Amino acid sequence: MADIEIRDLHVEVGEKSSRKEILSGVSLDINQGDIVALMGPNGSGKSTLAYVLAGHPSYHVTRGSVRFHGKDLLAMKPHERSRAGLFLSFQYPAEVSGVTVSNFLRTAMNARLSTPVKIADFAKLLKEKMSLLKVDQKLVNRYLNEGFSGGEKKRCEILQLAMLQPQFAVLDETDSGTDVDALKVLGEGISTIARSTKMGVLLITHYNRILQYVKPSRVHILVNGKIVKSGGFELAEHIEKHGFDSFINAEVSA
Amino acid sequence: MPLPYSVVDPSVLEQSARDAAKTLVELDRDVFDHADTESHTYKATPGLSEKLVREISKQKNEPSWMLDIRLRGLHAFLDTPVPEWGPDLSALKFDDIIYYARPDAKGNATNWDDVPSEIKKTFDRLGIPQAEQKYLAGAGAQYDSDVVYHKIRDDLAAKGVIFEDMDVALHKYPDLVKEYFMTKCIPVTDHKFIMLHAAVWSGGTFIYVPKHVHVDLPLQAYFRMNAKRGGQFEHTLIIVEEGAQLHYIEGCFTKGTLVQSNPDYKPIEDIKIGDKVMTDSGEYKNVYNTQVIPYSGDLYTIETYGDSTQRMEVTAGHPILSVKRLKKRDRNKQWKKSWMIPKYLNKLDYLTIPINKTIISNSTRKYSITHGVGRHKPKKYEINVPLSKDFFRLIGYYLAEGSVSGNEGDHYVNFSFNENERAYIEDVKQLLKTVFGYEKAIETQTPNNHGTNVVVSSVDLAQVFKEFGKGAPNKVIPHWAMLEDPEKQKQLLSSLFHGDGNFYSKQHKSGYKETFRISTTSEKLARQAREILLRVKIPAFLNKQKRVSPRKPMYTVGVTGEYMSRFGEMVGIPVSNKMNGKNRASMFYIDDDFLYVPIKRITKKEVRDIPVYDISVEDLHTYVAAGVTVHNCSAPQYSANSLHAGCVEIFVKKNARMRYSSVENWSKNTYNLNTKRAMVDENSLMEWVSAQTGSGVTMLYPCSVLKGEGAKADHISIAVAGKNQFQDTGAKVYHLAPRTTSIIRAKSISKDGGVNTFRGHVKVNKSADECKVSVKCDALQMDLLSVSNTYPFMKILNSQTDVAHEATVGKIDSSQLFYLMSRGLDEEQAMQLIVQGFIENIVKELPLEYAVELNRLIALEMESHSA
Repeated sequence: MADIEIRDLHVEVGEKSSRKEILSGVSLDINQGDIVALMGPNGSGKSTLAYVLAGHPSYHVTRGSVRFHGKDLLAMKPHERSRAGLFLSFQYPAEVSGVTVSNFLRTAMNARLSTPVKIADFAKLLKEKMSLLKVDQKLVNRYLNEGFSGGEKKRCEILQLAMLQPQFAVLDETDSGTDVDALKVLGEGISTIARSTKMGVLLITHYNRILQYVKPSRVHILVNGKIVKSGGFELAEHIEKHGFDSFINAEVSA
Repeated sequence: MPLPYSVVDPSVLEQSARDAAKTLVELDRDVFDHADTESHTYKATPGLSEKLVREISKQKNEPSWMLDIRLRGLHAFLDTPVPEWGPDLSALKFDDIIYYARPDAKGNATNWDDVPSEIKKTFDRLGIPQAEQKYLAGAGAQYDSDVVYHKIRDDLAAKGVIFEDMDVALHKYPDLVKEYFMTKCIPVTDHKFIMLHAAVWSGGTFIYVPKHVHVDLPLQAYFRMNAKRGGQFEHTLIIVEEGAQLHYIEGCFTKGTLVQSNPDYKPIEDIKIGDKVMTDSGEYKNVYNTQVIPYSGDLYTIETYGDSTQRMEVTAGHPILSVKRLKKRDRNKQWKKSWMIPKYLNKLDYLTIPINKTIISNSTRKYSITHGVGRHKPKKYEINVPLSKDFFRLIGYYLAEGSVSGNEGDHYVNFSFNENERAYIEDVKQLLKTVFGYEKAIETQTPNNHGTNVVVSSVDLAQVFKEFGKGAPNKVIPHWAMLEDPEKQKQLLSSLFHGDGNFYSKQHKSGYKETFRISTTSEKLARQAREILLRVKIPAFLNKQKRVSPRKPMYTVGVTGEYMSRFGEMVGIPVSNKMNGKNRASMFYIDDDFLYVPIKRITKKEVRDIPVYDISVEDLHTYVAAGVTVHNCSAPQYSANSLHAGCVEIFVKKNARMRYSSVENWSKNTYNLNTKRAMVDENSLMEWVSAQTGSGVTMLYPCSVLKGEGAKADHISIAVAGKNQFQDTGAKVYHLAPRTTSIIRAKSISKDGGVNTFRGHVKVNKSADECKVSVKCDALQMDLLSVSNTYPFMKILNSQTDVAHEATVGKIDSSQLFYLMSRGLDEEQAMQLIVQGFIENIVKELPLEYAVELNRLIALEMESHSA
């Protein structure tokens, strides 16, 4: 059994009267230490999958299951999923005014510890991770995501990933909004963390830019809420050259 | 520019407080005696009448003009209807209220049993010891609190600052009081509750700051109010003369009594500043675990004799329990403790280190043993070890000379001695028999260093001793053993000394020099040994010696001077009380509760926006903690009476600055109908910082009357309304003169159906050219039941006015909540964090201690939200 096992997942969104199905039977396995890419055109349901895994209350699972280390992930509350070792790097993280990044990080770490992290230990760890991801001191003193550029937001997300050291990370469009240099730093940072902690990664992306730094062993193509093709890294290369058109057409004709 | 908060004086006038209290008591006694002989029956009865008002004035021996004020107030009150524009006050029964309780009279105290459990619970949550709780609830005897701030008081008095109880000021400074009391600022007939206040006011504070005097630390009410509780109709009158500066904080009592009232509740942490002691030993709890507050101002570094390994860092307003040195060359003979802020501490003054007196003594201890490795399935079982004096002696030997080893798992315990230490070798073997019944210890020799090892081959014993640390630098005394019976601990110290210590005695030019020393490479063990020595009343110093790498630093715990005989007796080396023909002397002193250590060095530096509190300032390896003892500021003030109608009048003269801060947390049965107003002259600044929690109904709108050209008012406030609470708050500013500026910033939080109403009332006169008005109010609703109302009222009669107004009402944002929860915060924690962020820019305007308090208080309020 895989460490994360998604089976025939159907997900709807919207008010009761006008619900719309976004995912129509997704099945996926990810193991600890695996890097798996999920690619697809806009609106194919990639982010929905990310939100459902993290437990967003607006999405309704109508069928299927997700097991995380054998446990029913869908029965867990968002914070329980996080404490169990799941991490979602948001495409659009929320802003929280008045709460500095470092204060937030410490609160988040303490939330999963039985005794609070010592300040000195926290400071040391933070410094280490900041240098790994080339994060400026000023950023951690600012209020969480408030007024951050797209790139700063992503950097802050990955800093959180580095600090919280999850077993599984779902990275939702980490490459959007980041410039080439930042992408390199973040990508390499993620790789380093994944290697050293045997973290499993589900990389959600539109392009294969980030895949140069975080190289997936498997690539899945999601179109209209279904995985239409799975393969190795060459699949990503194919998309780089030819785009998603062939898969969209295949889906339509199927 | 706002006044940096640290620029003001928390301080105190103990003498004046005491004088005031004394005068008051004398006055009262006079009256009492009189009353006793005459009527004998005066008792405070509920209800309001002219008779009562006259009685109050008579008891206080007031001049006739004050009686006139009272009577005018009374008659106007009786003729005026209850205002109906605000929250519903119909449940307020004026006849049920006790308007005047004679101070210090017997029988005024509330019965502790009558204090609502909700209040008691909050006290507990805030970590307030019960004796203090009773005091706060008006149910306990007052402390003979040694809240002594002589020095500050003298400083202030020398500058001509008057800081008095209002009743006392009336007698001591009648002309000043007569000129300003309910005349030019808040007239007697201002509104219904001011009329009532005028009739029955009692107690409060009078402050006069002469021209150009800067009171440079926040002046806090509790510094002098410790003598008696502020009443519910207290009057505050503050006059800040031309060019002067003051920061006043209202509403706290008896700072600093905690330490004495409860030796286990230790501000010591922040006194010793407990970088390592506090966090590593687990001995002391850091109550404020999650607070980080930026601090700007003076930061003091204090080093003491007796511990070269630590220094403490404290903020300028941080009170430290200390003892003033009386003679430079001689150790004090009197040990009168007082609270000092670092500014008034000098080299050689004493700091106090509380002695942990907790004793938890057990006769046995269970150890879980896992036996067997390799091919066999491990066996698990428990053994009971007697916690006898013998075992403690054996622990001491182990800490000094022991090691645990084995190829696969721990099999062996080894005690290494010099071959000459026959007596100790035999002692260890004997102890192994008596404690563990273990008779198979063997001796091995290591000839190259004349060593003799006592070797024990036992998995059980190896696993027991592992608890005391493997490897010299990791040796440690477990928490339970730190709390054991001191008689047992003496045995441990004794054998630790025999193993790792020596008696240093050497002829110096000046005569013999002698010290008992214990040396170890375990820093923790050294600290623990010092701490246990305190429990057996032996002060010791702690030194760290750096050694050439790779050798680890060596820590030495030493005992000198008069305490040597006590130590000698413990370890069996008799030492006479005299040396070189004189009595042995020590710079330290110890009593039942404290060790007193002289200050070696005290320095200060200015810092900007450094995070303090329980965060370590890296590279300094210290924590900066703020006053544990100020928590009673935010504790709910419980009174069986349900009406608080205080009055605050402030005069800010030309070019002066005044900041008035308050955190009010009245119990939920209270109607808090408070009136605060400032008259602000030319080019001066008035700042109001207020936080409102508690109370069933609050009506409070601090008011600034900008009557001099260029005057400025800055109002910031936070209000929290929970279930069945109505927080009707706001700000009022009158721009009467040209080029005056007002800034109003308000935040409100409503939850569980609580109602917040914000009234921003700004008026700009026709003749007031080029004024600036800025009003920003943000409301946060925690749920759909709660209500936030905003009623801006602006009357701008001058067309040159620059007006900015902004009001937001926000609900807890579900995307924020989800984001925070996805990081492991549960819903309650996530909400708390959002709220903390929401009020952050106001909290940071408060002095450190208050900011921390307020954060905790609001966190507490939020907790009950989800409960």
